[in-house]
Amino acid sequence: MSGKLQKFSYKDSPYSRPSQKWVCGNFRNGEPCKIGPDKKGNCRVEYECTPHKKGDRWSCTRTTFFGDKHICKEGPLSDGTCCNKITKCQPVRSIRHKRGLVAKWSFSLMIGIFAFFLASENRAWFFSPGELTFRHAQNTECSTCHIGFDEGVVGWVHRAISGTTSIDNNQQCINCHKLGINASKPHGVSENNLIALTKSRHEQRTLTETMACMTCHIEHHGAEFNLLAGSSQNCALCHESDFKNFQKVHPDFQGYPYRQRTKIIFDHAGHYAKHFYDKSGKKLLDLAPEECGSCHIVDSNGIKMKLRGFNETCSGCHNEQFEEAESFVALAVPELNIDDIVGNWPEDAESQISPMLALLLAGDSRFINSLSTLEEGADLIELSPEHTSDLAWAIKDFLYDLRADGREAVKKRLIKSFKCRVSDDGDLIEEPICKLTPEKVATFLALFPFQSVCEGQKQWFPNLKSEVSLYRDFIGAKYQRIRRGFCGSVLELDHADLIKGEWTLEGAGLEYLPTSHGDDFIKQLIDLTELSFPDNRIESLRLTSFEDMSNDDAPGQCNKCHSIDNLKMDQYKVNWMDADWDPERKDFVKFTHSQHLIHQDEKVCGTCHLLQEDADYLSSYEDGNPDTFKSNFTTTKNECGTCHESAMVKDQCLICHNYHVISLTKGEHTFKYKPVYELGQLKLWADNADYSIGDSMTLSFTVDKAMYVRIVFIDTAGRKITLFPNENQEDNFCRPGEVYQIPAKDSEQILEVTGPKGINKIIGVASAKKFGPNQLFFEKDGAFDDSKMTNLTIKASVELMIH
Amino acid sequence: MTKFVNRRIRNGLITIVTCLIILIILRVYGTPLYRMQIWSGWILFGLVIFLMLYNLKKKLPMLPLGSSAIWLQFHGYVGIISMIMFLQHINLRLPSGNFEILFAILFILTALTGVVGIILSRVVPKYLTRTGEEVIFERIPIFTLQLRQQVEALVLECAKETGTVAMNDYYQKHLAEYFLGPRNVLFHLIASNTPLYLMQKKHATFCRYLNKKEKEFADEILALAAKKNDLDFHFALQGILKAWGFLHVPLTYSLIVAAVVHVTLVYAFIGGV
Repeated sequence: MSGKLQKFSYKDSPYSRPSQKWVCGNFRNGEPCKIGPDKKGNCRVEYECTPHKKGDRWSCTRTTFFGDKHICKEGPLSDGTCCNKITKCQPVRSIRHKRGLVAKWSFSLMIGIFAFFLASENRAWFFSPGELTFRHAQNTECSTCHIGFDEGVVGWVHRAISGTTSIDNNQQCINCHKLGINASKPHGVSENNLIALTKSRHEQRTLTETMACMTCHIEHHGAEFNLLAGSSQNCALCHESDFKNFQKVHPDFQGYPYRQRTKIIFDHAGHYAKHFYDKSGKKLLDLAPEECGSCHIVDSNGIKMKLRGFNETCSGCHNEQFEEAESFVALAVPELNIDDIVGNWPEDAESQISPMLALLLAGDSRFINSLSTLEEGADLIELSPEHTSDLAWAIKDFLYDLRADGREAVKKRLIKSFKCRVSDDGDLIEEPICKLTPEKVATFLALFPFQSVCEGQKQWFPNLKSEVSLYRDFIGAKYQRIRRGFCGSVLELDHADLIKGEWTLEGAGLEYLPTSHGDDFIKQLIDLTELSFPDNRIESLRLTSFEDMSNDDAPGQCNKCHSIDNLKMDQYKVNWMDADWDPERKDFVKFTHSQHLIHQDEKVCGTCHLLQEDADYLSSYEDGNPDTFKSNFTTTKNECGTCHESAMVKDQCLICHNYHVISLTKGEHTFKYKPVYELGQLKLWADNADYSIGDSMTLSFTVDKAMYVRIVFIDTAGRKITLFPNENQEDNFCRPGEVYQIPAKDSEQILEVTGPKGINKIIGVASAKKFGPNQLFFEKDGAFDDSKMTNLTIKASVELMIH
Repeated sequence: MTKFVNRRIRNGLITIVTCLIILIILRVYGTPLYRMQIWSGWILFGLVIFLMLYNLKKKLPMLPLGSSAIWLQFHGYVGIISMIMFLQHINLRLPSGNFEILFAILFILTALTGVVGIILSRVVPKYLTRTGEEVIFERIPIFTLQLRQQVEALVLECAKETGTVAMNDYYQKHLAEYFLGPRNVLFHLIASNTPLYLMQKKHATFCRYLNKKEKEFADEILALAAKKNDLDFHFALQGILKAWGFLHVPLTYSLIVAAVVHVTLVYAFIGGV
């Protein structure tokens, strides 16, 4: 028995459409009908043929598919029906249809699964793209970080379609991470700062658009994922160096390691060459430090190198200057050309205004008025009798109050000197106008020599009680009576253990002798005299006091090592610490010393800090400007490059640089750069200053660089009309060298003044970037709301009087 | 080299170059600032949509969209590109969210079934063409019935001519069930001839007790059994070709649903480029 099963002739192999949904139910038995089911899956066969009537006879029309022969033996029945009835079947789906059905079911199932979770309370669990980092683990609500999460599925779809941007989510981050108003700007700094920084660093490109936090901080990658990990490629978008590796591409260190001079004046080169070692390396002093670590130590954060302190470092040689120190007059009764009216005055009074007396009487108008009448350099005895009397009573009043109120009197006087305010509880109110701090006041009170002053008062003004009582009765002033045992009561206020120096009563004054380093009294006296008085009529007195306390011959000679920063005209700051490093402050460069000292030799510092023997280090302190610096040391990037190459240690930008340079609590700080503002300028003027209603007006403006300009008229009622661009001047991109006019020069149009009467404003804004009217924000009085227009800083305005 | 090999090398090179171009672009501009993740996602979404269109094309043969063979070629190579884009999109890191895991699994399964399908469509036809004759899968039951009828006719004729029922008994006991429908599918899927060998061995044992006439009938029956074995082989292999589609196509539909949800979530909570 042979022959092929599958035949392909049309007679032997009826065509079956592969795309038909239903097939005969008998197919599985190998006996399918030849007609097959209909489209709905119903069996439609009944007979093998539909007989044909020819004349009065029915004839068979069967095809050979039903049998060997074309016509059946029996033939149709007499009523014209076929004699061969076919048993009906239950049609089944075709394979293709089954596959399509499975696909549809899986499609529906997937939609069902998603719909179920979208509707359920567990949708956050299901749709969350992954675990948060441990830093954000407390954020259990998606809406904490994603705006619109609580809007539901419809809201999600709406947000997806309406074009929500990742920047919109920034506010959610900023709610916790207080990065200031410019948080979304590159580096989190203002546009002006950014432009200036860019120019100062010779970068080619300034990106001022807002950036999404999630651009760099990618969440949902697990608890241990490093949110701060950044790629150098990100930096290279703006910093257009092609950063392949540190050694080849990174610019050399310019002005590094120090942009600011050291706060403690210490000439390393001078000390090494003169005092520590000779040229052959032989020790000149037994106390000379063996290594950098003898004087420097890593701070607790491991970041900075701090000084070990005076006692561990300098004291070996420099204690002598304290042993040889001389006392100075801290508080004294001044020499005055006194008359009998003011009563007793010490005959041995021979000094001028002492520093403490100035601090305590600077709030007394008699004191200020009297001294302000003196010419610069004039002696107190030259005061007029009237002013002499005022000054004398001011001093006596102070000493009387001191006896009456003790600590409170001193506190009130000090606070009044700086025009600070106190609360109902008598506490100092800290406010910008007040330069005192509660700590400064407390320190002053703690170190104030109550007992010595009291003893002095007894000698200088033995009749003070009766004199002042009479004086106050005479002028009708209310006052508190002195209690008995005054000196005994103030004695307990003395904190002798805090005072390292010695107080001595010498004639009509109290002298203080500092005996060791870190004398708090001297320190607080300098700290207070460096604060300018609110009344500038006695500023010269304050400056004299400060000068007396801080010059090279001053008691303690503090400022031989502790540098003084001249911040503004006649405003000084003494640097007591080696660094006032703020751990919260973030600069662009970071360097962790501890990581570089691990497993290193103690003398490794010299590898990077290369001593400049010929550097004129001390000249850094001549002009008082902390930015003036000639360092004892220099460094090169080559040393860094020996390790920081791709094969050894990571050379990513963020290893050594911070992106965010904003303090979380203090906001944007001042950068050490010399800003070069080249923002451009807009000049705007009108052809007249006064107009009457109905007059025609011409406005003109120029720009000094190509910019977009908008000119707006604001009337007295606050209504705003855009004058430029307008129908005839649609293009508001203006170029330098051309005077633009409104209406245009060749235009026949007239700009008519319509009122209302009063002072009306015309304001102009320019920017190198295109901007729309919706980016202009105004205050109620018509002025710009600068807080909302940080991107638009080039402005001009004119005021017009309309009659 | 044959034309087929040349074509495969050419298409393979085009695929590699295309992948390299995409990867280089993503590498050059691959910074978070440019949101390359969004771009790679859209590229991947586009590729998946294109792959899905092949199914649609097959349903619309009347449209002049090129031959199905060309579409299949594109389907295979674009599928490879989409797999590479997928790896790029997930940054070679397995996602950790439940939905993301489900989504990734759907893609991986779809891709895997696709790869399996390509392999099957390349391997199976070779086996089919060298085994038996070419038959249409849907008609295998008809041919099975034909063979059964032929065998039963032979058994009856044998009994009539030889006057013995040995053949009838043998058929009832060992062959009747075999000829009822497709058998030994698993053996055939691994291209094993063990069932046929066992049957031939049993047949040889049986033939030792037959006379010459009966033996002639027995040989004819064995030939038909061998033919049935070929038919079973076709059923198994063509069946696996058909069954593969039951995984790949539904997974693709599920993948599209998940992709739409994914895009919606991304744009709702992360935002666009």
